[in-house]
Amino acid sequence: MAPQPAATLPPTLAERIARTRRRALSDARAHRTPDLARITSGRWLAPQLLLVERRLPLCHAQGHVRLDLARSSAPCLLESLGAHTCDPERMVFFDTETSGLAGGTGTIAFIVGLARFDREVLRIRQLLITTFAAESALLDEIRSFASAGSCLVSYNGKSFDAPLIRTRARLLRGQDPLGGLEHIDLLHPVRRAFRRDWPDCRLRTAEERALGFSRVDDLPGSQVPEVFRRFMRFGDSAPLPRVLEHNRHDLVSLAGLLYPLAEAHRSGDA
Amino acid sequence: MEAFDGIHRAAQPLTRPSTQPAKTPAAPLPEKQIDLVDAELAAYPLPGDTKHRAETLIALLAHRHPERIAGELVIPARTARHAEFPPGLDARIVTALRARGITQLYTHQREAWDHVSSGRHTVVVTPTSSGKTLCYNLPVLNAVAGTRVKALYLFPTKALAQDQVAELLELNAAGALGVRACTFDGDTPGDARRAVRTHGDVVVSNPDMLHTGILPHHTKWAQFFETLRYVVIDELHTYRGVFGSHMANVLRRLRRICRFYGSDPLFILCSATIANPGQLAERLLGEPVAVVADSGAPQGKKVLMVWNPPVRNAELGLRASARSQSTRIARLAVKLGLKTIVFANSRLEVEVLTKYLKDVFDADPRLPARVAAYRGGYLPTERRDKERKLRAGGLDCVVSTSALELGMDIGALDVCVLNGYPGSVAGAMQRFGRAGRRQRTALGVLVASSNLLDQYLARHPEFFLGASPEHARIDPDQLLILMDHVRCAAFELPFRDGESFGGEDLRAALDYLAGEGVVHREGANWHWITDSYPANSVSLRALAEGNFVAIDVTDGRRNVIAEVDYSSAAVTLYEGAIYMIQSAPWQVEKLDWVGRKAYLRRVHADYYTDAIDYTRLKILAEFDADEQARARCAHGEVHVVRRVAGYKKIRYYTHENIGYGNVNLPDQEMHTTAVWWEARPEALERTFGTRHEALDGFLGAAYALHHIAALLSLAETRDIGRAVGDGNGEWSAVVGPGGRPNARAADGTELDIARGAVAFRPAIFLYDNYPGGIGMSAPLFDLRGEVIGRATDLVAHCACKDGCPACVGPVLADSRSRESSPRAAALRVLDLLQEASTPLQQPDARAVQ
Repeated sequence: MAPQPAATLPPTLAERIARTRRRALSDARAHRTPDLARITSGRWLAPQLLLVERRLPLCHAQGHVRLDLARSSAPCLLESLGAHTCDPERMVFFDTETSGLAGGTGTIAFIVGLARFDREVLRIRQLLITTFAAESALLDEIRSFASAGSCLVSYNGKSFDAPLIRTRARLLRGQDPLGGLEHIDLLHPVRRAFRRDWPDCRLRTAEERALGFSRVDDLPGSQVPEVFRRFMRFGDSAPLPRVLEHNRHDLVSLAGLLYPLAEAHRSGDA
Repeated sequence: MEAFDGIHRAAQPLTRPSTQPAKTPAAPLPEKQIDLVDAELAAYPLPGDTKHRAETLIALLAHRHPERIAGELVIPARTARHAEFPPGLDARIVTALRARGITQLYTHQREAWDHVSSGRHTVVVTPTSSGKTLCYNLPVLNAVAGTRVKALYLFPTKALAQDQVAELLELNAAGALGVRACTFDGDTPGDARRAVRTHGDVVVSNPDMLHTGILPHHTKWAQFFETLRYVVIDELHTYRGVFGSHMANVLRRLRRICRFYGSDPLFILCSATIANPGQLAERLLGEPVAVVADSGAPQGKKVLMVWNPPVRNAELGLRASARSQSTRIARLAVKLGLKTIVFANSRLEVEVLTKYLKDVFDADPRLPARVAAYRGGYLPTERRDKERKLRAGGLDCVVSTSALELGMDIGALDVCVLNGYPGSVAGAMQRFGRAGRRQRTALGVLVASSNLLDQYLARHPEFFLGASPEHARIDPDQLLILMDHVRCAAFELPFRDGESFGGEDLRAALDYLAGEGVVHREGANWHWITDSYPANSVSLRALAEGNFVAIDVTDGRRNVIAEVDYSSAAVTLYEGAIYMIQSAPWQVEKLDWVGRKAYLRRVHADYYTDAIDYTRLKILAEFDADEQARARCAHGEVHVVRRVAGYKKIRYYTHENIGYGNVNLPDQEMHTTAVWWEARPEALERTFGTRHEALDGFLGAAYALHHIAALLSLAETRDIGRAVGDGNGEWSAVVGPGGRPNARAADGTELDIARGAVAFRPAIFLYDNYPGGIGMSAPLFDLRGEVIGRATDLVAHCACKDGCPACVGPVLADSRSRESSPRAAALRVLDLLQEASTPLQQPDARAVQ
């Protein structure tokens, strides 16, 4: 009889998926994980939660702006933004590195960078998780660093980073570690002051134009999600120090931006 | 002057009905015909009171053209059956209802209330304007006003959602209930969204918004989901096929998110008449659903007719156009003072019909328009304006596409004319539902076009007018759809070991996604680790491989002028193709297959193009078979390869072939499911003198079977593919340029099937035209007796001589001189196949209710 069936039993789910979809080539070579704490000069705060701490003296200049100058500009800028009650010592610069740029519940912040002026230094604390299980500890750590009374300073953080942290906390059925904190998103004053003169107001542009700072061999932010995915999938941790460095630059530039913004305000642009 | 519907190859793409050259707008109606309508009316004195004018129209049509009325169904008037307000109903709502003149409920409204208050998911199936919305608004308002719980309303389109909010707000205001109802859809501005999320008591949205905008951001809706008590799904019958299968998965995701927030909402669903509302609802929810199907609402008498245009050319099977008949009936109705709606099946038809009617009724530009067109593509404000005018009675006639088919409130109408069968009985009945008043007689007329299904229904009005509407089928575990939603669900919330999602093995699906690097297993959890937002790449309305856009590059322009779905792109957008938009020709200059773009230039062409494509199938697995002495029928999994090898240029009107072009496109491949029939070689040799004759029969039978299968499965004909060939993918048969069948090998070369060298085991395949299949083949196998029986009946009783588009497909002139006609050959094939198809099965036997 005519066409003979190739098989007589209905195929299994896996076979059917494989038939209908082209299977992605997986190069599942497991990377050997070097000691992450050693290559990042960090230490384990909790299992799978790494802390990388740096203290940057205020004589450090980001581009042509020294941090002590930025720090002394803070009161003027805070006032111009209507945040008089915020004490410059309580400002917490805040930036995350995430598994995706689209937002939504399926995006996780796997690196959270926090920084504050602490006497003669800018104290930078970066938290990195190596498993999803450590996320809860990460959120607790954020809460203890950005304690009550802190004033968050971010770049586009009101739209992206803070809601992301809130979402993650809710998924873990916990409290939002940033809930109730004052939050200054520098994207908005930057837009007001420089929109007319700059091609765009991305942080990278602001650094170059307002701080005269250009990054050397920086890992572009758009590549961060793939670094995370490869780390989760294959254990490839080699690019992680570069992500941390990228995140540190973001934090320092955030602090540095206080000065040109205050200047712009003083000269009446803002 | 009555236009003829010409004969056209059915291979022309479905995305552009405007390609049919004979359907260009004709000149204004000649005076003569206007006189004819007036004369017909003059013979019938108008009754003074408008109440009986529909009766007059019915009598007039029956008296003047009894031979055109192929079938008639009179639905007698029904009186109302009432029930008391339920004891638990909030006194404020009772007050609000009384203020609107409602002092008691209809029995079905009370029945729905009783089911819902006992905690049962409930589906309500009652006719249009039977007070269906109160079935869900009452329990929802009662609960929301009383205990501040939340409700989610889902409508298939944005426009309907807005209507519902208006109605809900009216009742809310009348009872001072303080319930906040808001729409949340693509039009909701960003700053209003937060307010809807936090303050909306009743959120009215659509499945697409739930899928892309709400579920992937559920944490922002935490308060809403925590107290979500009711989910209302109206227009349930629209959730069938691909859309319904997606919807079932969106609901799986919704309920999963609700469980996360500790809620377990009750579902209230409403449907137009389909054969299996309870079954459909249960497939969608995956849980038992109570059915309320007995309407207590009053209804005026209703007359439904199937109207077949008169025959103009018996040999070719040509009839007067449906358009001419629809226009005439609408004109009579409007002249009689009856509010009339005409439904057409394409935007172009709407515009043409509107023009014809406006030429008659809106000739004086100083007077307000009496006729209006209503179709998709208008701006929302324009649509609202027309809806308002319709409700207020300022218009006498509206011509519409299916845009009005859904439950939009446009007030009561007297006459509904369907210009051509809309593709499903349920769809036709829903359109007919537009006409009908509580106290007066209403008329619905289906005017049959020359299409196969229309003519089939004209011969079998009982199929259409009888009480057996189609079954809506969905396949929530269709592999591609299921996997799409497993991804979306994994993004929304990590899966945990032991969780389930639909009927398939979730663990296997997650393992697969982990292998692709999309999710990552950690302990008992499966986390999303990819930088993407999966809902954005999943369209609920299609099994999308990515639509193609047609870009107009005439004179340096770069405008997108059309969107073409993946499955028809290969046969419509090949380089050299003439692509028609609103009957104006563009030519495809360049096709970027990978980028899904076609670049077109406006041209003046006196021809259109017709793709030559070959479809080969290879059987991969057979699930079940019916073996008989002369034939067998089976269903299973197949591999389909479709190749567009070239195209023909065909001159308008004369239909002469004026050239060929080559097409170089990748083969379209997919795995899907199919049902197929084969005749045993010995039986075939005994029945047919030559192999060509046999192939003629197979091709004709396939054409008829294809259409009947679509009719029986509540599907569009394009949802099902058909092919004639052998089951090893060795060769496939097509109608050749001269009208003779020929067989092509895998590489497209023509085979000489008359020789014995080629194995000759032709089979007819009907396959699910979606990768992975959409669950239509198995039911078709079960219904094989009915499919063959109805197709035989269709071909045997066609009015044509040798075969026509209404039975075995277009037949070219020279085939009429052949040894036997394609029609006769098709009948012999069907007779052979009949054997392997058990006697007529009642479709109702499969319904679980």
